[in-house]
Amino acid sequence: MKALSSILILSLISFVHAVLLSDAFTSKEIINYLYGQLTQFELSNNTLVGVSTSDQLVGIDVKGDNAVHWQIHIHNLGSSKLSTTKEKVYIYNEESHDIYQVDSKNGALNIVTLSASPVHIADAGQGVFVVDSSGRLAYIDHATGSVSKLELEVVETIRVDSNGRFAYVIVNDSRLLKFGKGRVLFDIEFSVGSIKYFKSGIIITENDQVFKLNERKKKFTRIENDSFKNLQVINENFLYSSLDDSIKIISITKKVELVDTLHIKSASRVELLNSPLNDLIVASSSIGVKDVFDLTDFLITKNPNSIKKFTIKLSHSTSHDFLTVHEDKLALLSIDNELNGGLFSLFDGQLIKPITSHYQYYSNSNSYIIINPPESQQTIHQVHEILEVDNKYILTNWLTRVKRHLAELGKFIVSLAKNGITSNESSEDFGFTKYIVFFDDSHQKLVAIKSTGGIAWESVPIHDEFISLDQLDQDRLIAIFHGFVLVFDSSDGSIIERIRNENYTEIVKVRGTAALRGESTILLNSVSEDSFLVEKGENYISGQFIPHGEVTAKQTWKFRFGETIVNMASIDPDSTTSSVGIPLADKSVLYKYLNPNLVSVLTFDKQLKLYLIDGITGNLLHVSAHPEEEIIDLSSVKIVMDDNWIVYSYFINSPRFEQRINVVDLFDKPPMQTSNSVFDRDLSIDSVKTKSFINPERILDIASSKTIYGITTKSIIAITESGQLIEIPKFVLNSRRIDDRVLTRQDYSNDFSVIPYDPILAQPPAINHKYQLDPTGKILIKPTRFESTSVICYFNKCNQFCSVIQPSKSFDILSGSFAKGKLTITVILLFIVFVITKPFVFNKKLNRQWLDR
Amino acid sequence: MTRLINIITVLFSSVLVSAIGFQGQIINIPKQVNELYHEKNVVVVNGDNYPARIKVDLYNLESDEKTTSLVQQDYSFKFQDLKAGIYELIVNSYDFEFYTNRYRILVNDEIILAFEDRLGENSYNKTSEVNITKTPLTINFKYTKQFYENPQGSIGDWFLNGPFGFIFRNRVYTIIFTVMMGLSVAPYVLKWINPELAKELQEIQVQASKQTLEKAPAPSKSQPQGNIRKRK
Repeated sequence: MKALSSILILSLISFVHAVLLSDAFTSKEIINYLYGQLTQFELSNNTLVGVSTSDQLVGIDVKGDNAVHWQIHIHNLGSSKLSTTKEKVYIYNEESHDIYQVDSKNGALNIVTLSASPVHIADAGQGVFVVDSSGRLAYIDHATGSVSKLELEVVETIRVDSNGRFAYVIVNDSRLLKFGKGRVLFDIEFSVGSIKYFKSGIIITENDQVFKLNERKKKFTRIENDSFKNLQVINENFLYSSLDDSIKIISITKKVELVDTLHIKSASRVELLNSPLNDLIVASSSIGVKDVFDLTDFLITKNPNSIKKFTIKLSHSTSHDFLTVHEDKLALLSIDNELNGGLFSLFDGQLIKPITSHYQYYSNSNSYIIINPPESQQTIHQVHEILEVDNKYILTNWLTRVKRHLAELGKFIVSLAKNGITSNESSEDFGFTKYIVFFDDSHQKLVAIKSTGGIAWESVPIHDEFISLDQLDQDRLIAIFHGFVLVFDSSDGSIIERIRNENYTEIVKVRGTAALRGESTILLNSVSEDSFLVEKGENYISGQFIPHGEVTAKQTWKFRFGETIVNMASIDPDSTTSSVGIPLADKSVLYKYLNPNLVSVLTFDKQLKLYLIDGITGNLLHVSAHPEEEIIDLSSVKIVMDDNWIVYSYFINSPRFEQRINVVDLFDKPPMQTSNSVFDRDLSIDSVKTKSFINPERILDIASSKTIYGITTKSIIAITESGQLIEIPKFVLNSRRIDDRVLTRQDYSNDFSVIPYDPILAQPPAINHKYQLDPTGKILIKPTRFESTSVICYFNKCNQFCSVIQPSKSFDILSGSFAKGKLTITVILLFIVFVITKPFVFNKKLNRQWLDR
Repeated sequence: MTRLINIITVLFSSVLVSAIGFQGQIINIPKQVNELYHEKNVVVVNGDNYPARIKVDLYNLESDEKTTSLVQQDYSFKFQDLKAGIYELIVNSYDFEFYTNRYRILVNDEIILAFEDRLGENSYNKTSEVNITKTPLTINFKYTKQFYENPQGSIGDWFLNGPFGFIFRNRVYTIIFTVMMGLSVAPYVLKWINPELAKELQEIQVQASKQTLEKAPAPSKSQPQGNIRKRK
């Protein structure tokens, strides 16, 4: 029976938001994965691997779409070190014994655990050498991830040079070990002083002395150098010395000898880039000009004339240069810290493609709001034009109207030809485009992102501490900063008004305007109606009243709880309800308790308690308490109110370890008489019905769906711990589900979609489908102009996701997957059948005239 | 020189456990999963990196502390340095469903035991005890989650879901239906294929009906004649 009901519920839930294959990965779903700022990054296997500010290791296809392709959350990543090899990335931290070996192409993870914390990792071609904090040396193989422990004396430093076949390791700057064929081939001790650089068997000391390895004699031979400073090794035969405006190429075959001088721009940053076949010196100036010297031919011919030089020009200075291969040709990837730059051919220095990063705007405090974009100036102008038509002359009116209609038709045809039916214009016309507005603390800007993708606008930089943001009215936004309260135009983000902040910390929505709350509460503008507000303290709530025409709030009541408030909710003023009751089988009506001023408060001392209080009079209407033996994770308590119900979720550690969702449905008496005053009205709740459900997965936040007229059935939207945005229909979370007997025919007539009670909810499919979300954000819902459909967005530091939900399916929109072909086939088949059967029908009718009955 | 250095190369792929802990292994994950986004040529972050989309949390039920383990590419995970106590292990995958994803873990100084702890039950399943001190806890793959629903849009599905769908869903009904349709259509088809045979059959049919009429008793005169019309 349970299984049957589970299947029934699951089928009902999937019915609510089944997404067809044809709708998958279409423009209905917009997702942007953010990485914020990369604190360190390297190019490995054509993927840019970086450490983001939100403790993520990300792999970015920098040469492709410049978007995140994989990401891993690693604890303490910010303080970890990154070591990049050709195909693997190693992350290690001195606080942990673990080394994370990550495949840079797809992010596949392998964890290697040492007996002490790793302090240094050096690449050796086929693997890496690791020195740990206890002075032990180990070797990790790239391919297998297996560890070879090498027992030496205490190792403090290592310098590794590898040519693919052999690895040369200098231990503690005094011993050289040559590794090959899985063993140590030779080991020598030496003393050259303080080593600065070791490559290709050449040691450069801190005082620019040069030592060359003689493998036959197994010793380092000194090459006298008193002429050149700031030396770097190109290969076993050549060095270079970088000066302020030149690079000197030096031969060390027998003695230190100047081969050529390469002139560069003053104060350039000089870097040697190597690949197995190519060696290049890149000198980057501060104005974005790079002089590239290709030494590949020179190192073979040893003729300075074979050094190729070309210049690369960028619009700005870039600090990171990587040698890479693009379409089988050597290329230079040059990017700045924001991942903007270009990919250049190293054949002729031409730009192959510009590299542009995706925007990285997000709110640190999760303060996101969703708004309808204001009407465009063009629409406003058109409306004015229609209203201002001269009514005196019929002919001129007709001509104006025809002209306007022709112009509209022309625009429609042009847009249809350009974008097809699903153009942005139509999505804006029908309210599918919303703006998600927030203050980006790192860029110090107020930003509006379109729910259909892209940036709508950015404000001018605001160098102040952000506190709060809300919508003031259709055309304006209000934001509290430490020093000022700013009013913005929601169409372009321009600042309209600036008010001094007198310790305001909160914005409260009031019909037609907003109130600012600090030590006192004041309205921004006086309104023609009385306003009632509720203020929350640590263990109390209080009512405030602002008479019409005034701006200052006065306290009217205060309700003190014996416990601390855990969470509270009230009904969103934008929420709409279309029905006042539920028709029952006996033709009576079960009336909903619809009080828009109702406030729900969850408190906790020894037990979780739910209080329902009228927000105008302060009357306590209902209180219920959970058993004391329930041990609740208080940070998990979330509550949402809408229509005549309250849904709250919490995670319980004991007596059972599970995620609970409680639903409270409020019902009213049949309306006997009405009163104009809220103070005279009987506010008591006739009946309160509750049911508790178990969700298979931990829920981190919940919200209620909204539609324009409130006809569509409501749903609860929840974000689960694994990053699924799920939609649980309210008719599943129904307190009137029968739990103590078999359902009768009358039960099915008493409610919509009646199903027997099963405490365990079936896990519905995710709204975000295959796109996994980071579950630390905010759920944003706004109705479209279609009753069936709402826009849903989920924004946080890591993801910006938008899609649409249709709790009662797409009853007023012809879906994109509508079978137009089948409809046409049906019509054609019917026509063929008609044509074929016509002579038969004729004959039958004729025969009927002749035959006897 | 060799006396100075004593090199012992020891290959080890497992962990050096400093305190009590356990390992887990998710098994039977299919090597190849048909993903729609590959067909649609869309980039999904961690799309093929399934281990990164699995969350493994160990909750200490006595102190409310939570420890998270990363899942490696071989679908293994581990928890180290555990104190004695009662824990709850929750394994949630974004892409896969497991037979059991909740375990009660009892840790004492020497031994770690795991029990299945099904959702909604008052107690964990005491008969499902597994000692995971030295051997990893194995978690079995059940099925791959489907994120998109097949619209059943083929013509075949269309017929099956139509008013005559019940005929085509049942093999016997389908045979009977096909035979009946064949019999009813056969005379007309025969006219096109073999008109002579069709004529012959028609004559046989006419003769048979004549014989039947002859054998039948003549109607009595008192009975009404009905609407007998003259044939032209």
